[in-house]
Amino acid sequence: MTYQFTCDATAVHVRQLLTDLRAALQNTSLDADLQNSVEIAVAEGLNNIVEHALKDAHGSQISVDMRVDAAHVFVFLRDPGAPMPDGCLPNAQAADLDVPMPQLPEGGFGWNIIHMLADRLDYSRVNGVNQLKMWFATGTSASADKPDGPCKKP
Amino acid sequence: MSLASEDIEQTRIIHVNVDRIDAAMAIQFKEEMRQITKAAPQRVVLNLTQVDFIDSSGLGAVVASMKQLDPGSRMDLAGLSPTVSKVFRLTRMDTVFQLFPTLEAALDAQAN
Repeated sequence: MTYQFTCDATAVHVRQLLTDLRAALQNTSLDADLQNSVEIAVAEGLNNIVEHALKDAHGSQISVDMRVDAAHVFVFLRDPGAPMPDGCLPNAQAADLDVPMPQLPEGGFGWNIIHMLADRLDYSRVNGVNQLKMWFATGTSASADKPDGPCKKP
Repeated sequence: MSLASEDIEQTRIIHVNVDRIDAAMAIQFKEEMRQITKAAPQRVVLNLTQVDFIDSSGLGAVVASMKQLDPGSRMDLAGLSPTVSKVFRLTRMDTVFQLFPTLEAALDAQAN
């Protein structure tokens, strides 16, 4: 089953897309916990596009394709915005919470959340379009090994 | 207003009357929390029973709201849905806040 969504690059439009995505997920037989994981990871990916890639181009469109099959949920996000720094996916970096309360971080959680929820991620840029792919195993078949990304930080 | 407050003895309950704390309203949430927690008693309980989604922006706004409290005040969270709990666990913010499954459980617990 394939679903396609698009939205303008603003937080309010992203919220509507996520509402539609959630409705589509609820119509599948996917485990509720997996549905939550997909929604959260896609939300973080979309927020990143709005806040960074399309920061000065809120009229631009973000597209989200989702394919659900027996083994995976596959989500494909595309946007015409600025490329990732270094052309690579940010690594997962857990925030240090062992600090005095006034120094607790208020942001920077998004990529860590995406890395923890998606079984596999891929980023590429084709003809000025960012392409972010996420795979979530449904758990009904052997989990795919997580491949090394092409952009290992030294 | 997406927030309503209720003082019970030494606790101020903040009822969050929206279903999403997300990037679209995180800044507004933080500002409303600043206003509604002014001169709050020592314990604030954020009632998240109605909230079924939070993203990292929303989480950041909740953290910021806690930092806005007077020194010596604490903020506990109640009524987290599975999706909201998941975001707190993934970011290990469940080690920073005390989480209660329901508002009743939060009120039953004696804050130190």
